[in-house]
Amino acid sequence: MATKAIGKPRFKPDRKKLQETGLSLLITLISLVAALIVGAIVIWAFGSNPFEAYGALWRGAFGTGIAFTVTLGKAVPVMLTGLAVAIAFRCSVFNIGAEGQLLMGAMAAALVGAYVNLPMVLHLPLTILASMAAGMFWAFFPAVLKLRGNVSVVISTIMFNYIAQYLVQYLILGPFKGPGESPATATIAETAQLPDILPKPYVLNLGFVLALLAVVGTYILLNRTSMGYEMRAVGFNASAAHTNGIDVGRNMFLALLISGALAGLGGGIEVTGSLNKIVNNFSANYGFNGIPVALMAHNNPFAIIFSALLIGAMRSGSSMMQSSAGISQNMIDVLQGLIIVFLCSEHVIRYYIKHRIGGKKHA
Amino acid sequence: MLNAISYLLSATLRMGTPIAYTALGGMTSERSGVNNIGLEGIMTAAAFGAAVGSYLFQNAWMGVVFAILIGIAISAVHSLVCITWGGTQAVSSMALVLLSTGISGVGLKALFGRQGNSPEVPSLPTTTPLEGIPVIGEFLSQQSPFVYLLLLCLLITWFLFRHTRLGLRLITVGENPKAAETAGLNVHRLRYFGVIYSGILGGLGGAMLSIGSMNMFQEGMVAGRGYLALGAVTMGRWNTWGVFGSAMFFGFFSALQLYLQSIQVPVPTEFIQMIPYVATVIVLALSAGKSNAGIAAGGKPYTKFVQQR
Repeated sequence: MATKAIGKPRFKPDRKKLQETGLSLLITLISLVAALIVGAIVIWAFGSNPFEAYGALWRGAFGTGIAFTVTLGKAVPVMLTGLAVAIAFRCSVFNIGAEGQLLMGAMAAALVGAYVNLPMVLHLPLTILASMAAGMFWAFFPAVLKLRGNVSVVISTIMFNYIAQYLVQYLILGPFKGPGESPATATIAETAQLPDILPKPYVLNLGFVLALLAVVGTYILLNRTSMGYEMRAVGFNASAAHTNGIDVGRNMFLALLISGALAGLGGGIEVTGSLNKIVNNFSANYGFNGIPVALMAHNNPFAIIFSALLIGAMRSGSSMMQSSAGISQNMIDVLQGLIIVFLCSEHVIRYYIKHRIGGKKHA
Repeated sequence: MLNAISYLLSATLRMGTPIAYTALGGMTSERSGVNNIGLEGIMTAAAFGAAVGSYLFQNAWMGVVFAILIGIAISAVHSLVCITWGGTQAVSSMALVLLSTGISGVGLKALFGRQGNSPEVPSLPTTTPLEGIPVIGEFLSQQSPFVYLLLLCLLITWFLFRHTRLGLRLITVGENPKAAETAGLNVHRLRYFGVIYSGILGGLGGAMLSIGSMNMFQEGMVAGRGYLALGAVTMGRWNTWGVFGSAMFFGFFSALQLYLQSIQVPVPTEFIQMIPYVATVIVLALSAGKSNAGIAAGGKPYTKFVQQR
């Protein structure tokens, strides 16, 4: 039953599907533009010049070649948390715990990277795998609570975010505090650091490639395996899936575990790629940023590359916006919130596009 | 010993009250069929708004008014997106959290030229007139007026659901909106009421944080209390007294955390700070199964824009 979707000839031009993709893209663009407009009003209301602010944001993100590579780098963790949120969403699970899972992944990578001695061919993969395992481990508890006790994933993953935050803080300041004054772990061994893929002064490491591989992997898992087929069936209509003999609980459980592993990988790449250690409070909402990333992409893995780049650009441009236009970096949170609000109103936009514009065509 | 008890009781009230306000509001909204996991956002923006109002008018009560207005504004956005337009409630509420934290950060910099926290603003005085009451007068007089206002809100909420037609109707639209509409009820209007009510109470909860127990707004000062309130709603099984009790239960754990820190137990602070969150998870796990059935039509949009299943 489940394997039916595999091996079927694809790529026959499907008009309806194309139309649907176009509509999704249009909705994302409408939401983005609307968010920027309302954001401009907010900036103006707080007494700054919106054009100046957006200009600085743009220059900060894309102004120079180096800035562009920074943007690419900043897109990596949100690409992974975006994938994490998306894969869970596709199975009707809302994983708000990406933040905590990313933290735990980063912590595991920092520990394995600093305290294990191995040649690079083994050390680096081991560090990366450790981060995925830690992220998965952190998603395991909410997943079990959901499966066994029907505890809301939303609430439990939020609680585990806070628990992770304090746990990591304890580990950084306590037993695994590195040398020196700063609240950080020891720097990881060179054998555990991701190599750069661009010559200096550009800053981009292998993590970007890993993130792209994760995108492809997630796509294959979702669209080319029976496991992904079952997950999507649950997400599309859980009761219909159940009637067809798909174990709804088991699929949600697995989706949350995979989601955790992806978020953990995001933390692992951040540590092995750019930070090389964990500084206290390093994450700054990478996990929560995964939500707009996934939503803008309508949970499509390949589209996530672009939405992650957009959020990455906001993150890398925000400091320039703060320093030259005088509007707080937090403005990018406002913009992301607005984007989500508009995307959330997708149904109404869809309705009017179909009934007004589509209706005229019929007449 | 007596000192410890008095400290814990006082701290429980102080820590539990903001959670209880927000949780009672959240319960009302959820009973009417609209979940709002973004109570945290309402509290954050309201805490900020309270500080701004109090600063502008140099009067803490104006801060309370500001907080309520902001709570209404934010929940109005949530209502519009989720009730009228049929958006996914969990997603919309996460947007509220981002929006609120963002706006308070941007506002701090724009209005006060600072980051991290606002300047000191007038805060609500404690209820000193109660000092005259024998024996417990001293204890009562040290409490914030928010504590007494909470009792009022508690009674109003209880009365609403127990004794009024409006309360019954709210429950009906949460359980079966189709039947409610067939019976001639305006589903949307009732749900709007539920969500806005939650905004008002969430606003009070947020205001207490910045101008009740403190005299300034700090970024991150809500620290997950909105989420604890959400947990309290589930744990209290959508029953006024249950929700109130659960909120105070979380308040107690926060108080315990403060107490343990103050007597310097040889446990790392981080583990003590974890207590309320761990307690929530454990309690939800223990009360699992039976109580999590929830509101029948909770979380499901009821509009022409979304196909009904």
